Amino acid sequence: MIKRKIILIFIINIFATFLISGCWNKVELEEKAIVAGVGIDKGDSSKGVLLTLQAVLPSAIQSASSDSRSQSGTPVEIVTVRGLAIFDALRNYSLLSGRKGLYSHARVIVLGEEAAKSGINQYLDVFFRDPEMRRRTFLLIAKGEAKDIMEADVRFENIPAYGISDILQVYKVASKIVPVDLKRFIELFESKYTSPFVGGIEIIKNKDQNGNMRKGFKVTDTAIFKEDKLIGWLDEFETRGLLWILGEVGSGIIHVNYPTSERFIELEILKSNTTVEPELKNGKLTFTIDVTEEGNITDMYSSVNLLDQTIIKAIEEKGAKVIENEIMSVVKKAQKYNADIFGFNEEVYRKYPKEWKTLKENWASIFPALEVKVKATAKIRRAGNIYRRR
Amino acid sequence: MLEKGKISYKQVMSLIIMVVSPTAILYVPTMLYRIAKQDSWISIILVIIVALIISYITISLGLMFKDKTIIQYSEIIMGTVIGKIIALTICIFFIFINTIIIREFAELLAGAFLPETPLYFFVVLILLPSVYAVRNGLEVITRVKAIVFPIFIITIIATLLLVSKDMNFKKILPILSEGSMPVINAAYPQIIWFTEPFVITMFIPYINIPEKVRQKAMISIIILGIIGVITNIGIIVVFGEVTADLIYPFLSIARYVKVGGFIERLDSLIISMWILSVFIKISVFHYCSSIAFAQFFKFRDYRFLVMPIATILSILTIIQWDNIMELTEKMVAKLAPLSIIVQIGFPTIMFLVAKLRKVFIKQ
Repeated sequence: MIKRKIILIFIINIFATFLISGCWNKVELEEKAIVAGVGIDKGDSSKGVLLTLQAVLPSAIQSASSDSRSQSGTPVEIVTVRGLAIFDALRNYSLLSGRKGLYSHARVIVLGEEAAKSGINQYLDVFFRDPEMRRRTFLLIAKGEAKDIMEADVRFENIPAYGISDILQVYKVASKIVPVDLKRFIELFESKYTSPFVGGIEIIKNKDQNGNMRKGFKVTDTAIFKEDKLIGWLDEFETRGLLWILGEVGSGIIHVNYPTSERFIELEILKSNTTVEPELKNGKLTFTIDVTEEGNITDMYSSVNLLDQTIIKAIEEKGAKVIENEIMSVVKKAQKYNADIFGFNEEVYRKYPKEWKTLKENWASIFPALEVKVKATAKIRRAGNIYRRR
Repeated sequence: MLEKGKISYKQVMSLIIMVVSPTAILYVPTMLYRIAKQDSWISIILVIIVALIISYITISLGLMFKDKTIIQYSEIIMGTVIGKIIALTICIFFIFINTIIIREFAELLAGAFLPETPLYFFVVLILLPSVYAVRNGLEVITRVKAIVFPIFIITIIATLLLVSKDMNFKKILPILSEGSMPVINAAYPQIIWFTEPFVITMFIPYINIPEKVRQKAMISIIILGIIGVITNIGIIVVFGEVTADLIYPFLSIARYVKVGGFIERLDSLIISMWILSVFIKISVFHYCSSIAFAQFFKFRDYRFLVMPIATILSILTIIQWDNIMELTEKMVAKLAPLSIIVQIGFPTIMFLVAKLRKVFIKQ
C-alpha cells in the first residue's frame, strides 16, 4: 500500500515537471528588447505611422555598467519603424531586430507636433488597451519631430528616455513644466468639456568638449488640445499659471523687480494653496481663484533693508502681483482658444449639479467670456543666511 | 450525514467575506460606475441593507432545521413536488453561478497576463485543486480560507493606501446630482454578489454552535459593505470618469501604484492574492453543488460526485460565452433574476410558509 503511494507520488512529480516548466507565455530575456521610450510621428504618406523606439538590450546593459562607460557605447539602440498604425509598427520592430519589444518598461511616449495636430487619439488607444502598457508612462509633445527627440543625447543617463522621465519627475523644482502621464491624459480627454494639456519637449543644440554639435533636449512649454487635436502652446510663464490654478506648484522661483525695474529679488516658493470657486448669480457665472503662497528670499540684487516690515509687505505685494499675472495670462490664453484646460466645468458641476444641466449646452460660449477674479497673497518667512548686502 | 467534519461558528464571518468579495471587487466597480457615476458607493450601502434583511430571514429559516440543509428541508416545508423543484433549482444554480466565477477568473488571467494561453488551461488548473479540496471536506476548505483571509484583506488595504497619493477626493462630488434613480438602478445588479451569503444554508448543519451564525453573518455583511464602499471610492477617486471604461478596475489601480520609485508594479502581488481568494470562492460553490446533488438524490456519500461536477463546470465555463464582452454583459442580465429567485425568493417564501405551518400546527 505504502509502496503504491510512493510510486503514485513519483509519477505525479514527473508529470508535474511538464506543467511547471513554463506556460504558453514564457518570456526569454534574449528574445526581448526592453523599449524605454517611444516616439510617434506621422508617416510619410497620408496613412501610417513612423515610430522611433529606444530599445535597451538586456545584455548590453550589463556590459555597459561593468565597463564603467569607458567606451562611448550606450546600451540603447535607436530604431525607426514604419507601420499602418501603432500596434502594427510596434510589432514590425521584430522584423528589424529579431526581438519582440517589451513595452511595460516604457517611461515616455513622445508625439510629434504634426501627429498631435492631426489628432492624438488614434495613436494612443493601444497604450490604454494593451495589458502590457503602464499608465505611469509620461506623455510629451515634441516641438518638431519626435524622431529627433528620441535620437538626442543626454549625458547624465545611459538611457535617454529615462532621462526625460527623470526631468518630469522633478518638475516641482522649477514648476515650469507639467507632468502628464497616460492616466492623467485619458482623464482629461474623457471628461467631455475639459481640454487636455500635455508637456512639450524641444531640441536644443549643445557643443561638447571637442567642439562637435550635439543634440540635446529640454522639456518646456505646454501643449493644449481641443478634443484630441493640438491647437496651441503655453509658454513657461503661462504653464506656471496653469500649475497655480491646478494647485500643483511645488517649489520654484518668483522673480520680483524691486525697488526699481533693474533690481530684483527672487522668492523661493515653499508651499502654496489654491482654491477655485465658481459662483452663480442671476444666471451669470464668475470664478474666483484664490492663491496663497509662502516662501523665502533666496536671491536678491537690491540693497533694501529687509528688517523693515513695510518693505517686506511691499515685496510680498509685488510677488502676489507676479502670481496674479501668471494666472491671468493663462486664463486669457485658454479663453482665446476656448479650451477649458483648468477643469472649470467640473467645478461648476460639483457646486451646481442642477444648473449644470442647462449650462453645459452653452459651455462653449460661456467659457471664453467667463469672468475670472484672481486673488493672490504671497508671504515671506525667511531670508536665508544674511539680511542684506550692499 | 454526508459531511463528518464540523467548523467553528467563528469561521462563518471570514467564510462569507471570502465567498462574496473576490469577484465583487473585480468587475463590479465598473458596472456600477456606468449606471450611478460617482454615487455608486451609495448604492452599495443600499444593497447592504437589503442583504442584511435577506440573510436574517435565510439564517432564521436555517435555524428552524439545525441538522438539515436547504435541500433537505425544502421538501419538509413545501411538500415533495414543489420541494423537489426548489431543491433541484438550487443545485443547478450553484453550478451555474460557479461557471461564471470560474470564467471571470480565467478571463482575468488570459486578458491581463497570459493572452496566448488557452482558456481551458486556467479552468482545469483551478478546478483540480478545487476537486482535491472539496473531496477533503468542509474543514479543509475552511482551514485554507483561514490562511488566505488575512492576506486578502491586507493586500486590498495596502493597495489602496499605496495609491492614496494619487487620489483626488473631489471626484466623488457632487453627491446624488442625478437624483436617486441611478443609485437604485445600480443596486440591482449587485444583488447577485451580496445575496451570496445564501451558501450558509448549506453549512448550518456542520457548524458547532448554529445559533451564533446569525450574528456573525450580519457582521460579515457589514464588513463586506465596508470593503465594497472603500474599494469603490478608492477606484473612483483615482480614475474618475475613466472608471467606466476599465475592465479590471482594481487591477488597474494596483498597476498604477508607484511609491518612492521602488514600490511599483504591484499587479503580480494582487493577482496571486486574487487567485488564492477566488480559489476559496470556487471551491465553496463546488462543495455546495456536490453536497446539494448528493442530498437531492439521497446518496450516502458526495465524494464520487465531485469529479463529474468539475467536468461539467469546465465544459459549461467554456461554451457559455464567446468573449469577455458577452460575459460581462450577459452576466447581469441572466444571473440577476436567477439570484433574486433563488437567493431571495426561495428562502423568503419557505420562511413564511414554515412560520405559517408552525402557527397552524399549534392551533
